Amino acid sequence: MASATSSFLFSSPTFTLPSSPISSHPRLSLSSSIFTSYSCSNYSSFLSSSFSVSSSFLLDSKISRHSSLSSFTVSASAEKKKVLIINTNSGGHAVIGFYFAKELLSSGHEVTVLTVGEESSDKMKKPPFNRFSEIVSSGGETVWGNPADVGKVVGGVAFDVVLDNNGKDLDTVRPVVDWAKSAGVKQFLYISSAGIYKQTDEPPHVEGDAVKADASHVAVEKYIADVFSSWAVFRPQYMIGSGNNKDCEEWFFDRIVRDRPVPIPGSGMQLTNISHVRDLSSMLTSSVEDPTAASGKIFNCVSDRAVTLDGMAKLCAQAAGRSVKIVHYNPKDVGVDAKKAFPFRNMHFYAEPRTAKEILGWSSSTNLPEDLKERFVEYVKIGRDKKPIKFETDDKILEALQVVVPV
Amino acid sequence: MSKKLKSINPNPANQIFQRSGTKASKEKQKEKEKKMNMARVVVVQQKQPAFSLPPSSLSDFSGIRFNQPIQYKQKVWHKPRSALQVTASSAKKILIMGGTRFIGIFLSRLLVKEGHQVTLFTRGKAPIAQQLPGESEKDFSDFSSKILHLKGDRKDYDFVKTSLAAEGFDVVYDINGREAEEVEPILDALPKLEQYIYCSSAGVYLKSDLLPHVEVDAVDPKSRHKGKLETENLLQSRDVNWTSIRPVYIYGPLNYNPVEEWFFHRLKAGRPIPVPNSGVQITQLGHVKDLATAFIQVLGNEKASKQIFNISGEKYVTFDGLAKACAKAAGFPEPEIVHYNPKEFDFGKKKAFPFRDQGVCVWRYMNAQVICLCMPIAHVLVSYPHKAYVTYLSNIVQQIDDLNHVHGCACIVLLSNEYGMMQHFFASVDKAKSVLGWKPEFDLIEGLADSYNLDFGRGTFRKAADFTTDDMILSKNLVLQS
Repeated sequence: MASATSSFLFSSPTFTLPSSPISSHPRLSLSSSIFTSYSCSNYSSFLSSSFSVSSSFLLDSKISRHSSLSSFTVSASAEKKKVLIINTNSGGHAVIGFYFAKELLSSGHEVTVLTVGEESSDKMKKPPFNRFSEIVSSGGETVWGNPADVGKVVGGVAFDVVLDNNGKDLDTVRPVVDWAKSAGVKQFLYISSAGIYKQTDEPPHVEGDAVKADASHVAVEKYIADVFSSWAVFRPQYMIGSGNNKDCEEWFFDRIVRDRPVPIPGSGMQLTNISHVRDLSSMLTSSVEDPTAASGKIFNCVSDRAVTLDGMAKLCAQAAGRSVKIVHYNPKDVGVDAKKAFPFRNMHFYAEPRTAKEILGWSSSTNLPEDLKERFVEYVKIGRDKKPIKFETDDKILEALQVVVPV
Repeated sequence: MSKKLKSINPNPANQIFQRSGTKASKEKQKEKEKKMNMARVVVVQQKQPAFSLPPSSLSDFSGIRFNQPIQYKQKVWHKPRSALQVTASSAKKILIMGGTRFIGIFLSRLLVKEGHQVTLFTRGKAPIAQQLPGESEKDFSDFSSKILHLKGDRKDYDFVKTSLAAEGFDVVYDINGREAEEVEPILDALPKLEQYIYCSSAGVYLKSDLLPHVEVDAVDPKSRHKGKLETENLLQSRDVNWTSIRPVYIYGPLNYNPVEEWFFHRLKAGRPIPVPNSGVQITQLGHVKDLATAFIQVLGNEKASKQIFNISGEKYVTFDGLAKACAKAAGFPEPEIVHYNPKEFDFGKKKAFPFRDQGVCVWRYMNAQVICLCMPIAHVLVSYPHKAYVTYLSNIVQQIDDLNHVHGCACIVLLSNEYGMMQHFFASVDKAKSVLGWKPEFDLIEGLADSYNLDFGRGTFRKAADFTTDDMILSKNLVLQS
């Protein structure tokens, strides 16, 4: 019998206390001045302006001697770029390339997306690939092929910038880097992972912190830095956003709308960072448009707020307008593989985007409470709330904890 | 008890905030001192008019390690991106409300060194000037000869108003203010006040699932710190140039709040460290010297006008991590950490752990939900008879609008998180960093080493060791598996 370190946490979204700590308020301000432009507006399109800079930051090192803090100097490059995005054909990072392409196109840059594999593959029937027409209709190119043959795939087209949003190890990325260098690409960008940071007792992970020596991305980051002078590396965490290839908030919605308990391993206090993908896209775009500032930098590609696992469950419930029952369990005691049972790491995993804020004057626009509402609307729209789903692992956990599930 | 390992050697010491270092760095420092060309300062008697020192003598002054310039220099930051200019300002007549206990001790020294005329408003219970551990005789005599005292009770509002009006001050640092009404007489007495700098608290933030707290976040009008919040509101409503600083947990030598001291006692005694719940709760510590530096940087700084700044360490820390950091900083071996469920114990009035598990517990009561914001509620449940609990609960709830839900009935269905009342508590210091160019000098381990080397490690502490609650926990043996 599994030891029951289970617990129940009830929260009802209809519970309206004026200063309820459970419900999430839009951020209120008593002070008359706002430091970060913390946007609470819904982003119905990802075509946000390419400069999300608050006026208290200056963008570029070439500051005019006469500028003071009150004047806003835009010295980022207004030059249009030819950008090649090597995009993975599956997984949580796939959506990054999609948003980035669209944002670049709306800013007037030229974009080619090279998706790994074949256009006819079944993988292309899933989001974001099934929406690539949006890239094409905005003037972008979409091609398919093997990144190792990138030169052949893109033909003789010359690019200013390449983003590798695909490879996790040197064998996969090296051919792309080598080709880019020989083809005269000026700036190389790479989507790495915040997962390479060594675990710490002192969160958050900040750029410059120790990384796990055996993480395959590390070798890639090093190689890029060796080959290119203008490079930038981006370390993301978890993302939400329309067109996501991998479930994130859906995992919670699935259980909440079916009145099933949400099993969360451990204490539920684990901190993580769940960002809207438009934040990642805007950070990438800022780097393309201000390559000097971005040069040689590592950026934690995340929003600037952490949420606990319990908190995420609660926010999803609130977005869905329903209550949630959270059940905590110890994966070992119950005999499940936590990685398969739950979509987030069972530990504190929290990075902050300090370099992007400091160096690029970038600011986050993720607003989880609002963003999740939008996500829920889409969740229902596509009929996923009615979809029959089997919860085998959940049932195993709940049985071990002897939790009754309403039929 | 294992052999004590060598203490961490912090960065080269600075004068006023003498960090202990190896013998070599101390020698180096002495050399540096000799080279300093300190102007001889006139000993100022009380009630003399403000003086100002010629800039040159202070531009050399012995090493307070600032990454940024102090007054008297126009300097562009090495990071042009934040092109801040700290305007040079002349010596000011400064009043510190308090100043003899912790923050003020360090702040007053910095201000005096800068050439300001500094008066401490205290009841006189503690000496106005106490030599800091590691402070040289010269520095101390310099400070103590210059620091002024205005003796009084700040709650005697008439006295406050008349004495302050009679003196006239340019700037007030309110380090020990708790209630808004304490501030009114000060503002009334000093209509030409250039700046009111207030030591508030990050405790005013409304608990949230989304962290860190930033300055624009919602605040909690019902928190323990509501007096601080009301003071901030008062300052905002009055026509005064104010700045509010919100620290998180402050630590450092002479800390009167047994934060690091609590861990040091146990480490020294070779005892395991009992940590409530899972130990993954995240908190944040800020060194008192970095806080004092922030207070200096907002002085006369237009960027700080009518602004709030969170001030604390750049990194946060888990409870378990803090236990380990204290050990590392003080040169003890990695401690044994014992986790326990605080709800299974009745500690009475004693605090079993220096940090509040500032949490929220959700109770289901008669099909309604009641949120209790107070830590003691679990304690009440365990030790009080049912009727008293219900009364207590309704008293709490009375602060909340949904009073209808509590009927004082027999049936209480209590459902709470096993790990109930755990909450992370940390705030972002990004604003101070980017707007003021402030940056903490100390990381956690360095800072704890500084505190240890200058205080506990020398045999001084504020609160004697009391292992009563530890023994309750250890003997009951109801430890949670980590």
